[in-house]
Amino acid sequence: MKTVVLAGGEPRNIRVLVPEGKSKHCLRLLGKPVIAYPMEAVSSVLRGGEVVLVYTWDDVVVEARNHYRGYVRPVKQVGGGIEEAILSTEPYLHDTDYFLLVYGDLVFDKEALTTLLEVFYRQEPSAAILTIPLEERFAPTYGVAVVDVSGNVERVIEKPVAREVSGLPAYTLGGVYILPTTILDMIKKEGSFPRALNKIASTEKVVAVHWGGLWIDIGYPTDLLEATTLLLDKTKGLWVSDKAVVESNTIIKPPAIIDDGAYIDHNAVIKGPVYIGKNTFIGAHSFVRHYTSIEEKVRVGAYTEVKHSIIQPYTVIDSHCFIGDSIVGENTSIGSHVVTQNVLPSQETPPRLREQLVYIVKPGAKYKLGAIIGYNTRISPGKILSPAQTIQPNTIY
Amino acid sequence: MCGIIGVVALPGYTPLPPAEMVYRGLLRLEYRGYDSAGIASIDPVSRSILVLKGAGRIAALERRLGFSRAPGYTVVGHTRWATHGRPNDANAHPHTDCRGTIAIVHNGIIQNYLELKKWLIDRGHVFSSETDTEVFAHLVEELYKSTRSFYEAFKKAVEMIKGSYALAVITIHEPDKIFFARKDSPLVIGIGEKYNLVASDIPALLEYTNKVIIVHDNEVGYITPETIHLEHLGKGVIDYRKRIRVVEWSIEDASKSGYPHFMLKEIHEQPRAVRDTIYGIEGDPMVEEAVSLLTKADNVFITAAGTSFYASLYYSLLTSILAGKPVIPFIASEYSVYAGSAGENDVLIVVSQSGETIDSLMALRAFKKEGVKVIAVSNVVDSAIPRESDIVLYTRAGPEIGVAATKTFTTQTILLSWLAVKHGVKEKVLDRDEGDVLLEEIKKAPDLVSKSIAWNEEKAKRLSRWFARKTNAYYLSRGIGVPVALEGALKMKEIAYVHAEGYPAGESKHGPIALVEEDYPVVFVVPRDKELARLLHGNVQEMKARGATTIAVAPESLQLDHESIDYVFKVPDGHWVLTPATHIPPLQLLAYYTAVERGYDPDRPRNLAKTVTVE
Repeated sequence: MKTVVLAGGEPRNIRVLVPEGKSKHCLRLLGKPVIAYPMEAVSSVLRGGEVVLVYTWDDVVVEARNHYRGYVRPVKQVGGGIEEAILSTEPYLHDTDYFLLVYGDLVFDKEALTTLLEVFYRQEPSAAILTIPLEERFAPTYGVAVVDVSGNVERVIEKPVAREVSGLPAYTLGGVYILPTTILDMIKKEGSFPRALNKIASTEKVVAVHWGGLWIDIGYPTDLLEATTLLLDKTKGLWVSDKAVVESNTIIKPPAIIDDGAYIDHNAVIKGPVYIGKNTFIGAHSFVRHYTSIEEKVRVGAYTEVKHSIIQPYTVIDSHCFIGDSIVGENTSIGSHVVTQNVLPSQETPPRLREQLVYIVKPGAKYKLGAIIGYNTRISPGKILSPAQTIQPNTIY
Repeated sequence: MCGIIGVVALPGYTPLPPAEMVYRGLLRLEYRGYDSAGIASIDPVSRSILVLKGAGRIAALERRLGFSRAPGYTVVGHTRWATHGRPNDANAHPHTDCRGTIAIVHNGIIQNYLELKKWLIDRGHVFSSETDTEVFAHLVEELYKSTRSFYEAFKKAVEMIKGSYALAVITIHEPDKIFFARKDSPLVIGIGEKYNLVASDIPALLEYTNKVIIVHDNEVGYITPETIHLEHLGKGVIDYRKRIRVVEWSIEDASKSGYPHFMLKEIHEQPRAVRDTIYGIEGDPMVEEAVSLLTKADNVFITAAGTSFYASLYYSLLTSILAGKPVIPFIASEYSVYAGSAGENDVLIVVSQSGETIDSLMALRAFKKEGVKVIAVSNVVDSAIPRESDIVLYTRAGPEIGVAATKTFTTQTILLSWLAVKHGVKEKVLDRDEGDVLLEEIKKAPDLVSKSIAWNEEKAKRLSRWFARKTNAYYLSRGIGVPVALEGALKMKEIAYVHAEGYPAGESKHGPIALVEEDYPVVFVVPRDKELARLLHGNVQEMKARGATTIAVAPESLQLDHESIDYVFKVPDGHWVLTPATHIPPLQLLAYYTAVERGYDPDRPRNLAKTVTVE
């Protein structure tokens, strides 16, 4: 079976974090680009077959190859839509009846893929779609599949018209499909991917393959927080690279990963689950709290507290800051004494913000969200950022 | 959900002796659920077919019959889940023709078997089982008399049967072949080096090969050690080489037809199971008989154990409401208290998923001694309890592998609610129109269950992260919701090992509330009934005032006070009669995800058995 991975297109809702000329699939999560997660899943399940990678920017091709054991054939995407992306792979799908289609901006377990393949091989439907339990309030941000009593897909509803799903047995479209190559002609005829799927579903059997495990679609900045949380939740124990330096009097509470070349100064407190990336610098007396991912070459100044946040590479946070429940883009500089306020007023509902998942999430708990700080930004010292404030990229604030 | 596996090989080329390959394949097919198993092999020395088969567990049969030691290089095996005829040694597959020259294994149902059987008996064939499958063996035998080629006879026979089938046939006429056919039941060919296999699914083959061909509907053919013949009935021979697939996952990954656990699979199967149960009960003449028994009875008792007891409790509440007749529910193991009070004009309903639960069986026997008429409600055809009952009503949930009952509870409640409505009409408490309206409402259940699952899975998963850190919980409800609360608490207890208690909410003030403290989880099951909801609301406030964390399972149209309820599972609006079917899925999912979050295997809770056969 041929595999097609879609890693092109515009970073619509996550634009503040993705520099011009780069792919959102190269945002970092626990030291790896997002594209690494689907590529590794495909790699471990489909041992080394060819992957056709549809891309817009070159960076994603390099990263995809780094995380795949077989051959990656890059295909440049022409046009912005999913239809064009799928159709651009046509020349490479001539010799196969079915292909596996995976969206490149998903973080999921390889078991999801195994499950999909297994159901497909077992039942031999015309198509198989990975479906994910849906949280109704986020329905408008996803495409959904309406599933019938026997577990087959009745029809799919593409976002943003997914508002009509309320009251239906609907699941999120998981962005992983096994499709017949005949769908290419249908896309041409119908003019849209969802309509082509519906066409198949109306006459043939399209199974919904249910997946309740790890699955995150990286579409909004808040998804990075969710992914950080869930991935860190899976880490066990303490791993400190032999190429890292941890000075004396530092307290580390596992689980934590401290990657190559990290330097942790005296008296820092690291309270897991935490990821501290390659060549990072964690200043003296700083406090890195749970569910934090500090990516490559980030500097955290002395006396700074970081909590439940993800800091993209090459960013500098000066001393005496508090960064909580925030997402910070790459190559940003945050002056000293900057505070992110993080208790969200209840009337505010940013897209796809889930309850804060700390050690104990109490039902009905307060929502927390700090700042969303774009790439190449400078935050002047002493600034107080209000909850859910977005700082546009390339600005001085 | 029968399973098939067959191997045909050249001597000395297989990784294990063929019979052992088949035996291990059968073990891999166990998960599909079965009650008997067997193998057939062509003995190369005597050129005769050896059949070893029987009812029971595969491992026990292996000890009794020695499956894996059968000689021969052409072997088929089968696990059977009874549909036609009871699970006994005679009805187990493989089946043979009159002279023992043809052996067959079959998964599916042959719908026109009775007419074929008659036709064959007229031609002098002698049948040794009650199954629909055996007909096929005799049919091929009959047709082979008039055609020169066995394969032609086989094809002709396939064209004559109606229904669903995956078939594998061996014969001494062509000992190096396994003939196969498929329609609506799964079948896969596995390609090895100087040996080939057929099986119901891929995991059964994966140990021996990862090259497979999926057989499609209406395709027939045969395999030999070195060749494969595949053709479509009506479209001619197929070039099978185009259809070869390499399976890229390893055997450890091959799981429960696409679910991490059977329990989750079975939760998701509920809409289908409920639909099939309704189909079955609608056309079942036994329902009328059961209703007239119940109407004539002085007293009606209902008994069961575990989850089935909560379904029984629900039935007793429903019958009080709909038929104006009290029903005495009791826990099966306590039968000795009640048996003495029953007499000849009484009826006992016994509810048991497996039909083998020893407590329920003992209760049944004790009541039968008193001359009581017995109605059984079971999921397993012709199991012990149905065999000893006067009337049997079957749920059609299919085999349930997870130890914690999920789909069987839902289907039991649906079947029992159907019975209660029919009973109510017969007692003239409901008029005919009211009864029909209620039955129409029950028919909506599959759709409602499917929504209830879809809407709440993500919510249950989220809440489980918090629930997993709790040690106690209360599940409260009133009226028709009480059995659901009890069942929800039982699920949480048995698989997540969180101590959870179900109570009628009004009773909570008489003791249990003493335990409630800050952050104590209290789950409220709120049926779709204004009065009950109002009363329950008072209980919510009581718990909230003591710092409890309140969680509600409530219908969508109900206005809830979100100040006092911390977390809501919204379920679709169905008739209140359907409360178990609509309200239980979120609680099943919550228990499941809490168990997973705590690191336990929900399918195999400690200290428990699927079927309790020890008093």
